[in-house]
Amino acid sequence: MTNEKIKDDEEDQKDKEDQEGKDMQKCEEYLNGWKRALADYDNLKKDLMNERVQMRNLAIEQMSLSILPVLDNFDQALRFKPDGLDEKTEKWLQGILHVRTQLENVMQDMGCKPFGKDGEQFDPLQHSAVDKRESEGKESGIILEVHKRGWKRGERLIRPAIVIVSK
Amino acid sequence: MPKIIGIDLGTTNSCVAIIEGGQPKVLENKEGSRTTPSIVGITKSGERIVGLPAKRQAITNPKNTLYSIKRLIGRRWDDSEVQRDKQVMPFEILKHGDGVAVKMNDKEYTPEEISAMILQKIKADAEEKLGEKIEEAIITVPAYFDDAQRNATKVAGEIAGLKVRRIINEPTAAALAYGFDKKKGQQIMVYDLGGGTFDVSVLDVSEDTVEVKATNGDTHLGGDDFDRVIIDWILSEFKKQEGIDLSKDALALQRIKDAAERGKIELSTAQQTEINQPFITSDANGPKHLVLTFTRSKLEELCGELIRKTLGPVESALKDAKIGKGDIDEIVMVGGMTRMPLVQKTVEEFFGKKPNISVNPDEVVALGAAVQAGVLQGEVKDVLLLDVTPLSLGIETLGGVMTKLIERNTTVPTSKSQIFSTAADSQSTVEIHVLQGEREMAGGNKTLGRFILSGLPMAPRGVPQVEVKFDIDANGILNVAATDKASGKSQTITIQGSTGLSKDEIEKMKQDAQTHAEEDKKQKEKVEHQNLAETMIYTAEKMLKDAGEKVTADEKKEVEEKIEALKKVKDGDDHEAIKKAADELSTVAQKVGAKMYQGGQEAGGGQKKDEPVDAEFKEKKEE
Repeated sequence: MTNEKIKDDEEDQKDKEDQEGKDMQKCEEYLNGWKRALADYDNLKKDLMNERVQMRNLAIEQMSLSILPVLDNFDQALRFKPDGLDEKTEKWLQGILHVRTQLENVMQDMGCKPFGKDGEQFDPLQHSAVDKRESEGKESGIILEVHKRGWKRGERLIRPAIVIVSK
Repeated sequence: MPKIIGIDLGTTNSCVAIIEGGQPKVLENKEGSRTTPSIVGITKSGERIVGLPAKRQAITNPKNTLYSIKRLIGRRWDDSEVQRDKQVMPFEILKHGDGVAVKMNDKEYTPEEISAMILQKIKADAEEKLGEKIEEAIITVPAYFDDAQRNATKVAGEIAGLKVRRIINEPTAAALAYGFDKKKGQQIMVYDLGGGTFDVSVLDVSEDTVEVKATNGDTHLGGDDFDRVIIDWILSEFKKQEGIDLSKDALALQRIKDAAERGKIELSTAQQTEINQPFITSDANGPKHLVLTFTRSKLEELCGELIRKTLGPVESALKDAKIGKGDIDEIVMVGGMTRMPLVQKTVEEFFGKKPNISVNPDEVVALGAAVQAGVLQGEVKDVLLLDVTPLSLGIETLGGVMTKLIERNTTVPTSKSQIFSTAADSQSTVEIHVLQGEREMAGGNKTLGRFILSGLPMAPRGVPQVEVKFDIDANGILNVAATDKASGKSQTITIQGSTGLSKDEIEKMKQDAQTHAEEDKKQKEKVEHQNLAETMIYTAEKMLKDAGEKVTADEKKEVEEKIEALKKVKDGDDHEAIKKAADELSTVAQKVGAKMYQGGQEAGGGQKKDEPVDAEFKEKKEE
């Protein structure tokens, strides 16, 4: 065998190995891409699961936000209750109050709880002030009147309590 | 690689977005909202609060609640804007060197420091949401911001611990969110009607840059002005009705404000809404209720003047850019107020073309900033682009209906299969007619190919099970296979380029489907009714045949009459008549069927245990 022939064979062998190396690299690249796609899909499934829970919570919150004004207006109506109702009207009113309780129970069944009382310290993380008033004997920043109760679902604030605060 | 966030630091609200999987996405704040009020406050106890909580305590603490700080950032003390704000803002604005400072809790802060507090909250909330540290950001500013204002915004970012990779113009960001930076040689108008300001910009998209050719606007026109006219109208209507002025009653005013905002939003989609606030106040005659009908035309009458006011700056910007309104290729709408139909209509009438509103106008600027962030961090580059099917794919089924197997916009590669059956007794072949398009009827869609699967075993109609499988590979090549489950016989067809339609072709087919939607729906309903009628007739006839002597001549006659009645109407257009005849046939057929069933059971019950079950009953069950 001449030296040249040996050299040719060596070069062929080298080319082959180069090609194999490139092919292996490509295989690796594709395999990684495939694994990534499968992982992405797996992660997507998990994300979707989380999203579903979030959507459910969001739907409940939206629902409760639509019910709240009705409940607020029941409370508002009670503030305007006339004095000296006769027995018959008083009984009728009791019935209406039961309807209000039913509505509040719907909110509680959805995991929502009311909060906010007169005399509490104002906290902007939970309360929203609509007005401030002078109040004798009270230091400033105390809730004088809860206009609308606040609502929470678990730790999450659905609506802050709408309040009037002392000056 | 750490993520770069895109921040729209707004006058009224701010918004933050990131790129995830090559797509921009808004991050919610800790309170769960997609935007954060650009408000900073200090509580009585000296605690600093930012965003919604700061807004909630504003009324109790107006001197220590700072808002609209963007109006002051990078300004000189003698700027007219500063002098104007000094008169109207409830907090103290002071001279600080040549610039300005604001006072909160007896301490002076520069507008940069206040903006930094907003950015810090945005950064912290984004970090919590993403579970990783954020160090870099892109912040947007109005196109008219000068160097000093841009620098001050950058400084604010740095105080907040962010490396500001770029300051980009808000209108440019909005155009980026729509991908308009790729449309070389286009003129784009960005119409931004926000909470407190109105900005209009003309952009020129060239080979490598998006240049702002002109800007204009009104720094004191926005959603707040619209809310105010609505509130004033409600107050005056109530005064007219009840003679009571509610403008001094803080609680009533709060309810009216909420109702006005809700009404405004509802009227973006509805023509009419009700403002219903019972027990709003009372006088000697008892409680008073605020109940008003609020129509879209009333809203437009109230807000029309404000909207017309925006056209002046639009015209000025066009003049400055030295182009006519016909030269504008795209109009991008930004800001929540642009959701109002009259705003869109006014802009459309002015330019003679529809504005772009498909990206949420409250978020479009932040999303565009995130797109730019994605380019910087290289995320957009390495994304493997996946194709989608531009039109639905399916086969023709009984009555010329197109039954879709793969819906439009499905990401490929994908495969779907469905089982079909025969329409006639002893049918030995089925033709698979592969279609593409959005029309309900096969005739309106494009034929991609057809083939015949033959050699089905003899069987009554509806019994054979032919599985049709559509498979599109990553190159858009569609393989359709039909397999008879019983015999295992199979036939396939390969269609090249099922996704490779030109944009015009796809648009045309989609538009066709829209224009013919009503007529196609009617046609499909007709075919469905006919198919139902034919199935009923077939079933009833077969039942009579199977029942043989078990039904009386009268019963048989009754069923036959109803079959005839249904046959007469089934090919007509009167759906109601078909439905009525089909129901009547169903009722009499069920009576006979029930009798046969009972007969079968009695016969079965009367048999000895080891004798075979009545053959006729078994056959009925098979059906």
